[in-house]
Amino acid sequence: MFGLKQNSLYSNLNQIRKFVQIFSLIFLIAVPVLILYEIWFIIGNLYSITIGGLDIVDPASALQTILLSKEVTTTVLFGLIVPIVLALVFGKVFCSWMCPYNTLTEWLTAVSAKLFKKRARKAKLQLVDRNPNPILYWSILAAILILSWMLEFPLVLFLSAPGIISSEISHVILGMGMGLELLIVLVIISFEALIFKRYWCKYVCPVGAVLSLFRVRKTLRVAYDKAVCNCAGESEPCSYICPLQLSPKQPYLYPYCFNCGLCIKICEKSGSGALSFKFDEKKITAEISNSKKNCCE
Amino acid sequence: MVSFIIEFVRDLISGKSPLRPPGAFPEKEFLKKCIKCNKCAQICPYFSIQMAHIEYGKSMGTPLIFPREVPCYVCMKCPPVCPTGALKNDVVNKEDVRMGIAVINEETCLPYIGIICRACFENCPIFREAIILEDEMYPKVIKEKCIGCGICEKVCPIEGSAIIIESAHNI
Repeated sequence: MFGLKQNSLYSNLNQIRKFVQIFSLIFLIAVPVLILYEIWFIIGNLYSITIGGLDIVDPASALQTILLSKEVTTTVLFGLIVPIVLALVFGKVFCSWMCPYNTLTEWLTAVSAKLFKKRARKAKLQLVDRNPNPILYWSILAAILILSWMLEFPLVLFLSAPGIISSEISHVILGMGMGLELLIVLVIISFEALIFKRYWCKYVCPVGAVLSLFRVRKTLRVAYDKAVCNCAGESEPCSYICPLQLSPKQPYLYPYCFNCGLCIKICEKSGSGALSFKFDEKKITAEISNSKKNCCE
Repeated sequence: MVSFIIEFVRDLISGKSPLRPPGAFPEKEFLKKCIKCNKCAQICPYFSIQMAHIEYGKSMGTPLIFPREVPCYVCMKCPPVCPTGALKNDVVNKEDVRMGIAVINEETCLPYIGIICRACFENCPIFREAIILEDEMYPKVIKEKCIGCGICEKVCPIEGSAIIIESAHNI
């Protein structure tokens, strides 16, 4: 696959992911710069973007507009196709591969983990509720939507960090002045930097939450093969490295996981290869039958 | 300082209704539909469309026009690019636009104090229909025809402009 060595596949995949992250940041800067040079091929930001006639609308913002105005335009309807198909096939890869907020926090955590080694390790060691019941996730999303519907206020737009960052990039480059929405992003970033945990992406962000609604049995997932896993109990490199503090070995990995593949990469490095990306559900049923056998024997 | 805060809070609550780009829904409906995708501002070749900041309270991040700085030249490029229809996509003729209505201040307007001036009359894009000259001298706005683009407000030689656009959402 990709002409890469099998054993370094996932670390190569991570290299590609980091490249795409930088590329999407440059892309967000390039859109307004091209407009300054009177090239209107790509217009918009991460709330909604038009690439040469192809409309793409962020599902969370679309859902909010539909809720508030009780009307659907054809552009919104067709604009949902690309993000929904992407989510149905690969999961929330928008978050892990493209979202500028995730890219920034990933860099920031890498820096702060080096600066405050002890605190970072301490924060990472807490094992309580790695994969909480998804009811928590869904109720936060429902609360945001209901609140914005009751107040008739576009709350989702103000809570969408990727949207705010991308629109402010365009505002600044096109000379429209920087908006105070950026403060919202700064507050979230500093909050997360203080507690060393990515609670925003994990629980609150409406963009990711709406994207994770589109999940079927065959959607890309991190599969765990218990039989091959040789990490005993407490030392779990996969859950240690997870940016969202999830454990790929436990249930309820989804809807939280955004398929960044870091756990698979570290698992591959450790040599066991118990984790891998899979498109089908087969492994899980096999696991369940195995565990049933184990319990019954 | 205190008065500034009171003013600021009042602005936040009242939600000023600024001049919106052509084809905009009435203010309340507009705020429900706009998803701040910035496309209208980006497609505008004259950079007429600016972004609302904190002084507009809950409508911050939405598009608006300050006609005295750069008016709308009604090129009609922005309504079709709006994905959510906050700017009505089917508004394609400049005659159908209703952004606001120009109001003449007869105390400062030059012809009304005896000096010949035809700046607004001659620059109006709905020429001879939206602004007419009464007695070949006094400019008058025909409310039914005025689209509220603000070109008259921009070209008025009087300091602070003697003709000002009243946003359609305030009327």
